[in-house]
Amino acid sequence: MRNGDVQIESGTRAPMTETDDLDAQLLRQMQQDFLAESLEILDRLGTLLVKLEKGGDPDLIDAIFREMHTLKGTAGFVGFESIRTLAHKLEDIFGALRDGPLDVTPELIDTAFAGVQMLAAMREDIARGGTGEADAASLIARLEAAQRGEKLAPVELPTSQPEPDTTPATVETTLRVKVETLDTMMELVGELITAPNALMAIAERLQDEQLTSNAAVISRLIHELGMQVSSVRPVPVERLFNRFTGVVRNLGREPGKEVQLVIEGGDAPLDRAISERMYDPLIHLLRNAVDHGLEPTVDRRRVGKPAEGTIRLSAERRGDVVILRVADDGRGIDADRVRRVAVERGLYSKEEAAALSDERAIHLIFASGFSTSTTVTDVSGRGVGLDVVMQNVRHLRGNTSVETELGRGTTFVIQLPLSLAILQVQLVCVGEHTYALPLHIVRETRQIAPGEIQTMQRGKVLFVRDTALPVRRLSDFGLQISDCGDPTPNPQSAIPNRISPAIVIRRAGRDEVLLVDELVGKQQVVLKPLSPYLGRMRGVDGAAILPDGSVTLILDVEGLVD
Amino acid sequence: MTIGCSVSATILAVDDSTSVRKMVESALRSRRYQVVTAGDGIQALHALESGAGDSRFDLVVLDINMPRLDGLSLLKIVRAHAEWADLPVLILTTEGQEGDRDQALMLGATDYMVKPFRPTQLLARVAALLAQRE
Repeated sequence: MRNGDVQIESGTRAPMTETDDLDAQLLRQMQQDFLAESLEILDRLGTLLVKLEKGGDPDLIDAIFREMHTLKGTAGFVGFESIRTLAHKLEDIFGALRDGPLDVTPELIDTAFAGVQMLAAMREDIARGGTGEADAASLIARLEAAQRGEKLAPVELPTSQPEPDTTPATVETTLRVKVETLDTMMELVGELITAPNALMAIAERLQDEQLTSNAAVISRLIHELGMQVSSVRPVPVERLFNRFTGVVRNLGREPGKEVQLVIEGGDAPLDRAISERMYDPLIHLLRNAVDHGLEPTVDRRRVGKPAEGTIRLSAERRGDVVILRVADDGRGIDADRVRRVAVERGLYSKEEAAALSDERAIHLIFASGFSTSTTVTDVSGRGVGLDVVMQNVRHLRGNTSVETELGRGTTFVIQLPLSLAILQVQLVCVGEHTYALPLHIVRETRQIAPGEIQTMQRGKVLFVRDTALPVRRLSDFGLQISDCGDPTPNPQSAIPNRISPAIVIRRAGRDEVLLVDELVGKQQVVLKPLSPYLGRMRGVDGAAILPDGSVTLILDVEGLVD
Repeated sequence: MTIGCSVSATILAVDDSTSVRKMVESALRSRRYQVVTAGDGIQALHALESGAGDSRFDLVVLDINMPRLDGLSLLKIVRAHAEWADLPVLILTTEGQEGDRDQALMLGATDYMVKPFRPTQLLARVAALLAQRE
């Protein structure tokens, strides 16, 4: 970790010279001095901001600017990058206030207060031996927006200071490790995890019981190691969730609506990379819940609901997936209304829309080009639709679904993998090729007798628990990626006249049956990005190396087109 | 000026940040320079004024952003005095402060360094400036 450690760049790389020694010694001392100095600066900044709140005075602004400048410069000196970055943004703001382009507003002062609080928290963390890293992204985004002269939404400061840690007795022994080191470990474990598969295969072929049981033990140990290493990298989802409390308070200030946010399951782990990339999708769902989900207070009173609407943001770990939910107790989604909008937007004809099941109709809210809100409000923001949310989640190899009940509320459910590097797949054979389908989209596998498939006007279907699911051959999807002469099947003969293995997958919110030539089995694989030579192939998510050394493509079923 | 060029020079270090000031001071002292420190331009001016005869300063290390009297204003005053016209002034700037740096050079700063720097880089620059002077 760069923060907290003195980074000494030596132009000429000599082994620990006298100058290196002197630099290291002086900078170490300077770090200690900085901790004392920054405490004083932050105290002064607090006082100055309180004064500024009472009345703008150019001298005050200049003084704040200077303090921020000193804080930034000195933090940069001693390598406390998080403090340097945040102080720099604040310095820029006060520079703009001093030089004219910006004006002092209560929102700006609130944001500056929040900034000073966060700087103090970072400093405190460093003083306790931490890295000083904190999630300042939303604050920095806010400062940057202010810098561009954008009008800030009111901010509400946390009423209580973060509780000081008063339990030094239970201090855990910790070790700082570079994230890159962890990533390398993760990669190695990822490759190791498939190794016992080959061993197991050999053991089974030899029918050697001792070898089999030993291989099983190795497999289990490696799996456990993999879980441990990947659990180092995840962060509690709470970190992500905490960024939303202020946002929802602001959203709730919308006239005519009262909103409370309830957060549950914050200790569930989430991969760091996923955590960072889930901020936008979740903020969108939260805005969506306030904008479209919750009714105005008067309407809620009329139907006997509590005046205050509740949005529940929760996380839950289930095996190697994490499930996030954004639930509101609002009006629910009206399938008929969705049908009407879909027709208005030209997504479907009136007849087609009418033929859709309620479930299918509701799923149209994820279609691109579908947005029930005609104006882009301040609250729902950038005018992106739920389709973008779904896409973002899909890129993280998760999926999104919605559960809704009229008058009772709507819940968006997002399922995410615990790790981005390791993937559970179902292997299938089509012709001479083996493909891998991510297990999270596979509902079930089954054998289908020829008579089970029925022909309806919209095509071949299979009745699974009284629901007609469309049936297709995986080979119909134009996956002719290799030059091996796998003859493209004639569509007429596409449905075989013998018992055929099939998988039921969830695609675009509904189940479908895919016929394959053979079900090979389930496997844990390490995801490898495709070589850039191949570019991005439609319907292909990446490649994985199988225990026998062959490479298989991992299919992205949402991207598969006929 | 002290007698015997190889013996120590006297340097005025001016910076409002205590940790930077202390670091600069410690670095310079490690090379046996005499060091006087000041936390802003006014203090620095007092120090310069009291330094006469044998206790003349050989070099000023000067931060730009400071309360009361900033580095640029002090530099203007220094260069306006015939007595200090040749006094080497090493300006300390921060990344992104190129405007101030250019102004300082126009006002007669001898050289500049951009923070953050390694203490030994500062020592090398100081030694070079003092050598030029002889």
